[in-house]
This record gives sequence, C-alpha cells and structure tokens, in this order.
Amino acid sequence: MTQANKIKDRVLTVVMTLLSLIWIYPIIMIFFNSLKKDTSISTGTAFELPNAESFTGLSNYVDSITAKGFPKAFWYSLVITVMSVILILVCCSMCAWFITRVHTWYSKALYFLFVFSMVVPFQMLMFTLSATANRLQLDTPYTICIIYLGFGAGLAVFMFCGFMKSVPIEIEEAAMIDGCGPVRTFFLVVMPILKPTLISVGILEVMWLWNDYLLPYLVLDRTKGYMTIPILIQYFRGSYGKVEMGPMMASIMLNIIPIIIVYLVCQKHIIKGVAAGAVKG
Amino acid sequence: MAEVVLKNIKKVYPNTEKSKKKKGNDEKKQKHKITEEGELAVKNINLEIADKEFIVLVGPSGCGKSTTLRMVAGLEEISGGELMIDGKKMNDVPPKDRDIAMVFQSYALYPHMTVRENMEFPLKLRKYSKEEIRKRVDQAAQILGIEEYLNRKPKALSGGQRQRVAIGRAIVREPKVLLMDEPLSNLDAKLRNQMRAEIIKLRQRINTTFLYVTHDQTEAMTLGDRIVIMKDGIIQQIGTPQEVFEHPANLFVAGFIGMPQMNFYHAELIKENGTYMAALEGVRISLSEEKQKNLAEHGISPCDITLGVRPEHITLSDDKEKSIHGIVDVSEMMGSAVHLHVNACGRDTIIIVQTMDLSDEKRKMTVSGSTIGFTFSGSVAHIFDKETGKNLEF
Repeated sequence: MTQANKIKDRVLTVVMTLLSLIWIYPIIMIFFNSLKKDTSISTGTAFELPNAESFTGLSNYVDSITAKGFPKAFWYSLVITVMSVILILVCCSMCAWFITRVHTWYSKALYFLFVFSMVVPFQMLMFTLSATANRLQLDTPYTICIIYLGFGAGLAVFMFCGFMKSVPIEIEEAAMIDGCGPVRTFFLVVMPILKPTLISVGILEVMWLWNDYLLPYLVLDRTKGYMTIPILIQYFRGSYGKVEMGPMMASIMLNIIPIIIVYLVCQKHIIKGVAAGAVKG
Repeated sequence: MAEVVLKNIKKVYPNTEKSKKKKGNDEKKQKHKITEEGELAVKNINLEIADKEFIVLVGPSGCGKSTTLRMVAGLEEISGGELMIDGKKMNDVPPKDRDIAMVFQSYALYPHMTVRENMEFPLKLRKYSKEEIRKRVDQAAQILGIEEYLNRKPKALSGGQRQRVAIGRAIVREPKVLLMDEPLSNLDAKLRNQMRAEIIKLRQRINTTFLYVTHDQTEAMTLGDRIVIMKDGIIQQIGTPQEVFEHPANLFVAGFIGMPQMNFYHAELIKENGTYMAALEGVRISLSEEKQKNLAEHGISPCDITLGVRPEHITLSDDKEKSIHGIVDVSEMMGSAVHLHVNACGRDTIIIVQTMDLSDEKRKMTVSGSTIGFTFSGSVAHIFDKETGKNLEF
C-alpha cells in the first residue's frame, strides 16, 4: 500500500467513525435519559449524563412495562410484525416466481403495478384506507396483516424478481423431472434458494412494520385496546402538556432492542442477499 | 428400460407480435419456418429408439435437438404427433410421471442440498425406504467415483464433479429413459474427453435407454449406437456412426460429420461405356462398383454434381496427368499428421497427410507456397445433386 493510500485510509476511517458517532448519538442519548428521573429530562438537561442526583436506575423501565399495558402492546406489535412478514414473504416470493417464469403481457403488467405501488405515498390513500379497513373488519392486530401485505408487496416483489431472474430455470425443471409438482418445486427447491433474499426482505419489512406508527394508529380499533408499541409511546404524553419523559425513553429503548437483535443476527445474510439480487449470474 | 417412439412429432411456438414483425421483415433470415400457426421449431420427427439403445441427437445450434429432447422430457408441450414411452402415449403426462431422468448442461443441482441430498431427492419424493435410498445412493456414488464428496455442497465441487453428481442423481432412480442435454458442453476439452469415456463405461453398467443431445460430432460418433443428424427442425439422416460417416445422405450431413469437414467441388458426372465417372478439372475419376450399381439403380443420368471427398481420403500424387493441382496456402503440423490447406479448383481444399507416410520429396511439397498434385479413389468420392444437395446414391 502506498503512502498516499495509507493517508486516504486513515482519513476515511476518521470520517466514518465520526459519522457513526453522529448516527448512534440519539440512541445513546435516549438510553442515558431512560436512566434519569423525569424531572431531570428537560430541554436544558437532556444532554447531560446521569449523575447521583438524576440517576433513577431501571425504575423508568419498570414503569413503562407496568403502567400503560406495555406487554399487550408488545404482543400486538409482535403478532402484526410476524404475521405480516410471513404473509409478505410467502405471497410475494410466489408472485415473483410467477412473474419471472410466466412470460405474458399480464405478468409484465403485474410487475409494473407492484413497482408503481412503491411510489404512491401512504398519505394519499390513508383516510379512504382506514374507512375501508373498518368496513372490512381489518382493524384488529390479527387482520391488519392483509393491509400490510398490500403495502409491503411492492418492494418485496421487486427484490424477489431481481433475484429470481438469476436462478437458472433448469433447477426447477430438474425438480419437476425428479418428481415435484409446482407446489413442491416452490417450497422444496425455489424457496430454499431464495433464502438470502428472503432474509433481506424479511429484515427490511420487520424494521418497517415494527416501527410503523401511522397505519396502525389509523386502522386499529383502539376502543378494543389494540395498540402497538409506537402508539403506546405516544400515550406517555399526558394531558395539559405533561410528558412522562423517563418511561417514554425507556419504552423507546425497549422498542429498539428487538430490532437491533434481529438485525445483528441476520446482518450477514442481508448484505449477501442484497448483493445476490443485484446482479444476474 | 423402454422403447421410445416419436411419431410425426412437431413443435410450433405460437406467433407473438414480435415474431409476426420478424416474419414481415426478414423471413429469409429465420432459421425456422414461420407459418400462420407460429414458428416451426421441430417438423414431423419420426424416430424409433429401441430398448437400451444409445441415440444421439446432433446438429448445429437452433436445429431443434434440445427442443425434441425437452418434448420427450415433458418440459415442452408437443404441438403435434405422438410420443410413446414403453408403449404408452406420453403427450400429456407430466414429467414426473414419465419415469425419465435428465442431465442438464448446466448440471442443475440443488445448491442448498449436499451431494447426498441431491441424489436422495428424487427417491425421497417417490417414498423409497431409507435403507433403499442409502443403498442406491452409495451404489451410484461408487459407480461415479464421488463417494468422498457426498457431504459437500455443489459449490464446493469442480465442473466435472458436479456433472458426475448430476448423472448420479439421474441414475439412482433407474429410469426407463435417461435424457442428457449437452452434458459435457460446460467442461474443458480434457475433462470432456475423460467424461465421455466415463459415459461409455456408465452405459455398459446401467443398461437403460439413452437419448443424448450434443452439437459436438465427436461426442455423437463415439457415444451413439445410432446418431440422428438434425437441421432446421428436420431429421437429415439416422444411422450408425459408420453409416453416416461413409454414406452421408446429403451435403449437410457430409459437411457436419467429420473433422476437418469434407471438401466439396463443382464437378460433372459423366457416363462412358456404361461406367459412371466424376470429372474434376479435367481429371476423370472412376467410381467404385458399389457406387456404379447404386447410381444405375436410381437411373441417374450425367449431370453437374457436387463432389465430396474427405481430407483423410486424399493422397498426394506426382502423376501430372491424373492428379489435381493446387498451391499450398497453409501447412499445419499436427504431430502425427500435416493438415494442408490447398487452393485448388478455386476453393480451399484440406488434405490430411500422415507424417510417417511422407518421403523427403513429398515433405518439401507440404511447405506453404509450393504446388502439389493430389488425387483420390472413386470409392471414397461422394456424389451429391448440385441443386438439392441430396446424395445421388440414396
């Protein structure tokens, strides 16, 4: 490595480290504030580290878990995320398989329809959607996944199609000769080959679904107590402008932790999956 | 083990807007005939493959050989005609129920399974017992010499090993018909020769009906009991390797089979005192008795012909009157033989001269730029109709 390259490397390392710190700073700040008393979190003191006077231990975490029905919200978030992700992965990979293998005008049209759905902003259709969801009784955590399937399909089909094109059709033909019908070919041969893309799409969808606020807020019937963690966090803002900052910060931390765990476990596959779907070969 | 019969098998790809446009624009450039029905890829194939026979479909790219094989496999719909395997009509039977196995050019192994799992897969789907599966896989692995790779994934194998696994996956089922679609095309020349020999050995051991597709005439000649030469979706000739080499049915077969390819000349067929002779550049070549008989039987009268002679059948000659003359353009030393490219009769003529037969005097003649004389016997000359390209002896 030449001297110029070494200097370039060092400069890049410093810049990237600084960027990473800037990126992670809000999370660290939330974490520190979650350990402070409510009264010690104000505009002036929010940036201070916990000290003997402001440190409150894990009491904010206990409060956030016990006070506002956190376990219930966690369960609903989990149900919505898991069910929606499974539905998106299974349906969209099947759909992409059809689009890539059946060369007709309508399969092409279907593909463009999915891609187009990615550019339609949610705000454009949210009010009509919430009314429709109510009418169709899709306003429970167990049925909202149908709506999520619609919103998540665009990106998922787009990514699956990209990868599917690189899968040689001979593998599927070999499976058909070996004794598989279409269903077995898909589940025993195609799906395992799609694993890297399934994980990538799964992670992207998990991050979106777990953190989504607006759609469940508009659709879920809160009169029946249905709420996800992002909605619950908002409930820490009480009346007359009172905000329970400590428990709110703790809830945010609790919300972030599962995502971080999922990401860390699967990050190797995400990078592999994105690369695998990027080019044909 | 089964007999395979193809009766008037036809494959038509329906017209699309694109193909309609092509039809309008450059119909002459199309390899396949475009009809109102669509693009004709395979036209009325009639072929009877005997039980345990090794048949090779050979031809240039786009001749319909792979399409024919895929129709037998059930991967392509049959547009017309009848396909019978073991006496049963198979036109509408799905691939999994035809009791066939196929080896693909690209191996088509399941990348997420180990070699053992790949080979077990078709047996598991057919619900064989665990014991039987293990026995069959071990046996196939032993035949193919892949026992030590059984726990590896395909990505950890070389091209040759992968192809062995693909063959292993096909033979574990003991199918009635084993289909092979250019299985050696992805291998390098050395490995291809090695695998070719392996397939010959395999054939002796597994005793099933083989249908093999290749564009490589050497593979076709060495592997097949009979070879089927195809062009533009039509069978040009069916015969044993020896038959198609010695008695090509037309100009295409004559040019396709044999390496280097046959030399062709514009010549004249003449008849003197009831004897047929080929006249080329003023030199008269008496045809063999067998050829005389065949031509007479077909009532062939003197006419312009295309004369074909294989490079290895041409000999150098000093006789100025009875030999054809040309100038050596290129001389290629191949070790045991010299390939001479000679400009004679207005075209490039290839002559193969065995180096051990070369005298010092003749050796001087093989240098680029020198003038040489050559001749050939009437028994190795092939007489083709100038217009149709058909062998006049047939």
